Amino acid sequence: MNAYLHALPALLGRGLLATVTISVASMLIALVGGFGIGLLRALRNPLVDAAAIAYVEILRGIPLLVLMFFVCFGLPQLGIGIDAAPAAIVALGLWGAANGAEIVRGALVSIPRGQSEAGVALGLGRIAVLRSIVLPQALRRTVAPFMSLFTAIVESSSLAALIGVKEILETVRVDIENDATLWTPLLLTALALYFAINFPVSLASQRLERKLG
Amino acid sequence: MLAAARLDFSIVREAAPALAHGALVTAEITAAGLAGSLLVGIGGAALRTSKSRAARTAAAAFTEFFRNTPPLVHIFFAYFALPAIGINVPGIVAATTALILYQGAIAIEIIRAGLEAVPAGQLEAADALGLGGLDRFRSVVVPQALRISLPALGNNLISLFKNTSLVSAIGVLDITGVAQDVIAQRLSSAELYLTIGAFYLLSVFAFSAVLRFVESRLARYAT
Amino acid sequence: MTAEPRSAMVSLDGVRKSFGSHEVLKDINLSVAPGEVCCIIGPSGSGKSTILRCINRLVRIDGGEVTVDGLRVTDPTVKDVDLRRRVGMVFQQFNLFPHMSALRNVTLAPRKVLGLSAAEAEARALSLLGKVGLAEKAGSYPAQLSGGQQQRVAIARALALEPKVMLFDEATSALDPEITGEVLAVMRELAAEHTTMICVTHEMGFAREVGTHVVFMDGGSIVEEGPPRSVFENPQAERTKAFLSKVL
Repeated sequence: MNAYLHALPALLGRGLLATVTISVASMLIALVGGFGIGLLRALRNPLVDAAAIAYVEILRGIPLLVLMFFVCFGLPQLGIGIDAAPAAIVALGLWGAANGAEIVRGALVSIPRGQSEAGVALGLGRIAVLRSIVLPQALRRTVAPFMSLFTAIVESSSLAALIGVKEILETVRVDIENDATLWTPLLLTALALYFAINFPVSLASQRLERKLG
Repeated sequence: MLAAARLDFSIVREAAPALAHGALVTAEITAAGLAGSLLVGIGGAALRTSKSRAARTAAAAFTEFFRNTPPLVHIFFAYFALPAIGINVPGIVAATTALILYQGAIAIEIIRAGLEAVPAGQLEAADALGLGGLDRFRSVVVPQALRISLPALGNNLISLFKNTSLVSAIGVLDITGVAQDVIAQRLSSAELYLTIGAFYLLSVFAFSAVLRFVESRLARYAT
Repeated sequence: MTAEPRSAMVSLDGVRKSFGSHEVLKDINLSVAPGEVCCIIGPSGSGKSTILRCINRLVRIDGGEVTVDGLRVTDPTVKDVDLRRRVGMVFQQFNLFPHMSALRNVTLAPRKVLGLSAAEAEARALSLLGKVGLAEKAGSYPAQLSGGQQQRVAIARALALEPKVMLFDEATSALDPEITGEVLAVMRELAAEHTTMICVTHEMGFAREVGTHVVFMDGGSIVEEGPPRSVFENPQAERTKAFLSKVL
């Protein structure tokens, strides 16, 4: 019990802070990248589309762990050195951006065609139709999916432990290596922390989904 | 171009037999995970839609717990917990069990949504024809619920397949684990990550193609 | 009331039903003799569809009694299946099973409920599909059929248990006007064969020409009933007159 209490400050302090920092930073990349790619696809340029589809399919087709290993250990071999924590953020952010792009695209195509037709019939240009008619309606439909993407990012931030970032799971792992008897309280605490972050977001997302859908 | 010059894929050729064995392990975990998660999903969805309030709450709590916590932590937990309660199993079994619970929790929600999406008129028509509860469920509800759930279950399968890479964290030699092993002995790593990345990517494309084909076959009676 | 409970195929006696605080049926008395075609007309929300659902126990009544071919629906020893094989039902939205061909839609109940062999059920289904003019569509799925064709398959499906009485719940309301004719023609044919039918309908022409008995409902009560000629040409109640002047 004493050893557990001794281990807690690091877990609730640096560990939790690292998990939250990585998650929030990755989420920002996912938002910016997701909207960037999703809106580019609305331009219907074949070249841009092909590049965007390739990006999304590749990033969503490989395990995040492999991507993270590649960014952290593979890129230095190609002359791009990067520390573990930034590597985790880059990998999670790129992965989140691919998922975000699908969220934005899905929301855009869910707006009935009649809406943009009505805009065009009023003499608005394509950009104006997108900006003042389609996007405002699509925006609210992205909120719930982006919230559940955030919970996925928080869960996936635990993968950073495997490249040595001292977030929640890695802090716990090091403590267990020092004292194996602590695995139960420490892992349960870790699970509780992740749950405490994710559950409220997940509930709000489900509630919003039900309200809109 | 400069970057490509630093890659030497001969290391992959040497490691090919080990990687192939790792791919087989990945396939095995995926197959067991699919079967297990579907069983958890069907059983859980039955509880989730049952008349008993306690059963519904328990199933909902199970789902919410697992899908709001990281599968990687579940794998570590199972790795320590199963031996601690006297179940001495290899790491691969512990890891697969953890994945089954995580993907199964998601399957519960998918199947429940499918069951609830079968239109009320279908149940009424089955009742009016005198079909009993079991016939109604088997002949009318399940086929339609499965069709509705199929795309989401397909995505869950793909997510499971990618998540099998996490088992390497406790030393299981799936294809990611084998790659890690080789990398630990040699200095190069980019080639191996690119290779196993391609393996996962092509497999996911293959899964998607099969799923799309099945869905298009079922679409002939879409309403 | 000229009802003679002994000879009636279907009789409702003091039937009451509420959904929550809303009273949908208030003391309904109705008797339908074998071979009769009873048409129930009235504004939406008057309780017409609920009456049909009380007859085959899709809705459980709160008070009163319903008897079908001698079976009392409030009797707990009467099994659902015994009631439902005597009562065929056709729905407004057809409710065909989308994952089954027309043929399988029709063979399902004979096989599962009556225990017929696949061959027997198929022979019966093909003959019924022929009767509704769709023998060549036996292998088609509902999504490949027009609304009128789907509803005719649904009629064949309901007839497959050889029921004593057929219930039609606004069978043509979901159809385009030019298609209702093919469904009404099948219903006329059934009437000509002296099938006992209870039809909730907005088709006043059908009620007048084919109905042997017309019931006008409003607000959960039967306002007026009688032979079509007297209800349509000489309505007594003000509410009947007002309704008919709007729809005719």
